[in-house]
Amino acid sequence: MIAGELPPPDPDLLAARQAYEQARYREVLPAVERALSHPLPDAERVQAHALAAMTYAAFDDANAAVRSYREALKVDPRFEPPMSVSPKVRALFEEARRTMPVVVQLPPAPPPAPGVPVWQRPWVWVVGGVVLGGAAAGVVYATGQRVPAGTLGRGVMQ
Amino acid sequence: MTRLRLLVPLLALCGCGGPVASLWLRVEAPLQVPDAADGVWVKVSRVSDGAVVFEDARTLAGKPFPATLALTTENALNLEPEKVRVEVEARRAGALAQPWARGSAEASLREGRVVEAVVKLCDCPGEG
Repeated sequence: MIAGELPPPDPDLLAARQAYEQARYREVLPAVERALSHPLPDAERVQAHALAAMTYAAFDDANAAVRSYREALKVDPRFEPPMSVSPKVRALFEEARRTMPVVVQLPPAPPPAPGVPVWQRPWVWVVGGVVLGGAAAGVVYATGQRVPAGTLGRGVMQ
Repeated sequence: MTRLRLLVPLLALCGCGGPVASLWLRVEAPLQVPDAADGVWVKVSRVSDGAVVFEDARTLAGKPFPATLALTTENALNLEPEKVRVEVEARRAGALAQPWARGSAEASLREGRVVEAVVKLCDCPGEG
C-alpha cells in the first residue's frame, strides 16, 4: 500500500498506482494527471498527489515532489505518507509540511456585555451631564449680555 | 446620590444657579491721576434693607477718570423691584481725595441686562 488501505477505484488512479509499483515511473504522472482531471473523493485525490510526489522524488525533482505533497496536505492536513517510504521521500514530505502556509485560528469574539440598559451606565450620565452643562452655558452666554471688565476691574455683588 | 454630586458642580460650572444681572458703574471726576486721586472706593447696598452687597477699594493704576467697574450678581434679592444704592469716593492715599469727591446713585438691576449707573464727583452746587 502506498497512500491508503483501500485500493483506489478510479481507473486512472489505479493505473498510476500499478505503474508506480512496477517502476514504470514515466507512466505514473500522466495517469495521475488524468485521474486529477476529473472529480475524485478526497482520499483518492490525496493518493494521486502522493503518487505524483513519490514519482517526482524518483526523478530527483525535489521541488515538484514538495509541491505535490503540499497539494495532498491541502486536501487532508492530517495526511502522512506510509512508513515504507524512503528517508529521502520522507524528508521531502516533511519539508512540504513545514513550509505549508499557516492557518491562524482567531479566537472567537468575546460575547457581548450582558444587557445593561444604557441609562444604567455611568459614562452615559457623565457625557450627558457635560453636554447639557455645555449647552446651558452656551444658552446663558448667547442670550445674556456680556459685560467687559472696567478700568477698575470686575466685582460680584452678594 | 452620585448623580446629584455630578449635577451640582455642572450646574455651578455652567452658571445655571440663578439670575444674572450686571451693573456697569461709571465714575466721573475732575481729578488728576495719580496726583489728586489714586483710587476709588465703591459700596453697593440694597435700598430696602440697607444690606451691603459689595464694598471694595480699587486702585486707579494710573488710569484717568472716568473709571469704570463691572459688577454682577446672581442674587434675586438685588433685582428689581429692589433698588441698589451705589456710593463712590475718590481717594488719595486711602483718604477722601477732596471734600466733594464722594457721590452716589441708585439703580434697578434687571435679570439678563446690564444697567449703567453714573456717579459724577464734582465740586458743583447741586451735583454729587
